[in-house]
Amino acid sequence: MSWKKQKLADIQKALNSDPVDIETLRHAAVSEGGLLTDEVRRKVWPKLLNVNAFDLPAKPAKNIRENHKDYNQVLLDVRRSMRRFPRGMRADERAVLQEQLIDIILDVLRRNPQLHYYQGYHDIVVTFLLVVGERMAIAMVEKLSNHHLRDFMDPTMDSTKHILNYLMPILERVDPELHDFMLRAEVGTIFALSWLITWYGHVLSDFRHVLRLYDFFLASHPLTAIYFAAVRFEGNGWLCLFLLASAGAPSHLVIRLCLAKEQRRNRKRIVLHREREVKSSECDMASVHHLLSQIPQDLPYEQLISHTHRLFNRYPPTQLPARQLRLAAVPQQWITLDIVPVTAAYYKPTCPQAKAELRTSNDKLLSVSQQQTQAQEISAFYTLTLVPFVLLAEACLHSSRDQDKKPSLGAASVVKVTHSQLVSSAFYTHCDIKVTGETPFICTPALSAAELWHLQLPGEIDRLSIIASAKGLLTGLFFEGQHYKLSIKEKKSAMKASQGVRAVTVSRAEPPLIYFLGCTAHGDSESVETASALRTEDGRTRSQSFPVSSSVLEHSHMTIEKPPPLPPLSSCVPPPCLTKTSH
Amino acid sequence: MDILWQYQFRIILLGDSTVGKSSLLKRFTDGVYSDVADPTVGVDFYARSLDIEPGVKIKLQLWDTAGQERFRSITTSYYRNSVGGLLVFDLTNRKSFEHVREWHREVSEHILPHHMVYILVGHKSDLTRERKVLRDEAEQLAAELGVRYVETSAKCNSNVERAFELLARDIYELMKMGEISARDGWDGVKSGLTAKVLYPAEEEREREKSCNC
Repeated sequence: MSWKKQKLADIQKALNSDPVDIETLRHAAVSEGGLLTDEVRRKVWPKLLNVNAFDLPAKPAKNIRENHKDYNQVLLDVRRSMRRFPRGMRADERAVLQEQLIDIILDVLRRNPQLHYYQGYHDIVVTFLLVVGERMAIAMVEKLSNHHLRDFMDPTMDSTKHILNYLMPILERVDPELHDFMLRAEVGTIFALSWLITWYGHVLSDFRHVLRLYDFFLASHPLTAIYFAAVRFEGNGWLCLFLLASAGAPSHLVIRLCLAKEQRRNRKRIVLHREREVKSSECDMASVHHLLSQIPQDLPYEQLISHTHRLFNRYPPTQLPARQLRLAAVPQQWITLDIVPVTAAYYKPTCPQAKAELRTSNDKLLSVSQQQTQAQEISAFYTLTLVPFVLLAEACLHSSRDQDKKPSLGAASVVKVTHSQLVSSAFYTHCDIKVTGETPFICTPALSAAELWHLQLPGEIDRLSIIASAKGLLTGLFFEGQHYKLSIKEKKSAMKASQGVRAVTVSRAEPPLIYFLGCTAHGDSESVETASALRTEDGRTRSQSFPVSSSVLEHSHMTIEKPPPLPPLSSCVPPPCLTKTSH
Repeated sequence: MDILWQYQFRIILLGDSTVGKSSLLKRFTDGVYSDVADPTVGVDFYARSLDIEPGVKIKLQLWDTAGQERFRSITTSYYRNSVGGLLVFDLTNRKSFEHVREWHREVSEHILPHHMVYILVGHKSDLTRERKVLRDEAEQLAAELGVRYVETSAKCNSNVERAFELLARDIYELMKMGEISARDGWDGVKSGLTAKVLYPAEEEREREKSCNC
């Protein structure tokens, strides 16, 4: 029996077993050849997303298109994306599918007001439409949009940018040379944006490759797509160089890297003279093109997929150390500092060597490390580094209590603490989700939905405590004796009403999901006043808002506890940068 | 090795969704037009060089941006490093014309204290029957913003070349006058390493001499 026949038999067996053997299906989707045929995909894809084929949503109603804020954009995008339909399809046939595509997108958006359409979403939806048909596509896309794609569907692209920031540390694992090159070339990571948010549907011309990748992604962690970006990038040196060149990397750097790679690949060939040539004159697109003309047209997808799979297992997102996410990874971006309420009560350096480089708004290139920082640099420093913003928050907290006293920590005075600070998603990008026993909580970098997926809470959620800080912000989650940090991210519009916290997803892909939408509290009394939760079960959402009292317990086994009392500030150890040094 | 360009200008295309930014660029850089035009997801890149005067080749680095509002936070990071911008609207889409002012304001404010050289482009001029914006109105807006105005059609290849050339020429002239110059940490304008500089050192000295006497 050929391996394909064997695989098909295994898949069929897994489908027939009761309950369905998901692990085998996942394995099949990832391993060589993926799910092999569209017929198999129609059966297996829904299982991978836990969609019940016997309980599909109805066909979209006729009025689905009326008064939807995204209707125009969806219409514009779908009507002009002919490329995504099989070549040779009759125009009238395609037109029918295009109209279905519009309906599916609007139907999902309408039932999930928390989701926002983005250009490129249609590239994903069309893939499902073509494989599983309209009604199943609705069910699958809805599930997917609330899980794997959730971060891309926020009102803003902040979470998406945040996920793109994973690219560099992953790339460093794959190819340090390329990683360093990219940092120097300051190309940023935006070139991978369309790969990520369309799951490559937008950039691959061969539909078979798209399908193969979808097998893989549907069976994998939501962040897999970004791992694949790193592998794809490296796996095809020439392609990546081409992209770099087109992304505006200084061409002499591109060439130098090309040469280094070429040298390694083919040691016999002498390329040194070319390097000299390169050094002697600025290189241009033409010579880069010459080198790049060797780009193979067809990438070895099976290899790339298995490489990605191994890479993910070897370096799961939680193991990418924070220091990897230095800001130099996004140097081209003009980073806007969002005002994020920061609410640490304790300081614990998770990354004492934090170092950052960034252009400030007055166009100065700042490069600071914790050790170097002088008192006068502090406010700038806080805006720039990953960890010490915790300290600022501390000061902030302190100052909000003693209004008349200038906040001070060690010898350094914090210059401005008007807003509790300054952290754009790029900054507080990485975090260590493990929380140790003696640290009640560490001020959290925001976790995106995809990252929370990775938390893998053990078992059912039966007891959940929300920890609110003195400023009334949800900062931690106490679950079965363990603390979990939560996303703290202000959503300006939503926040006005409820001084609270942005939605947080806790739990794995399977229901129940619980989103904490808001949590209002009195700053002074350190008590939480109300909390609202949106629960998603079986794809349906229910919103609850309730005062925080014993009634909460009855509702969903949640208790909202007072935060632990803050320790006196003096007992916190300030980092070296904040202690006065004699020199 | 031949010098392929003396200067490089980075130029960005701005405007509402579906006004035809990508089509304009494809026509200009590849000389092709296709009715099939996928929306741009994020930011795309194109390049082409122009002979601006005999012996002076300018390489244009062209950045195409997604029109959808939510991508704005990403595209804004490309404003600062651009020396020129095409403000594109669709002649058959009144709203896209009305939004030009917003685009102009947003970019100008974003890059302060620096400036960008703009050109206003009324696109899809081949669709004469569906035209919703009069040439007069567009010219008036251009005058208000202090920029040039060109009507183009990627489909019929009308004025596409001219639009980019006018913009490049304006930038080039400003550069010659010293209003724009390459500066560290800014990628809007770059000069080729072995390029002939506008005023070579000797010429500069001679000019100084002539001023002194």
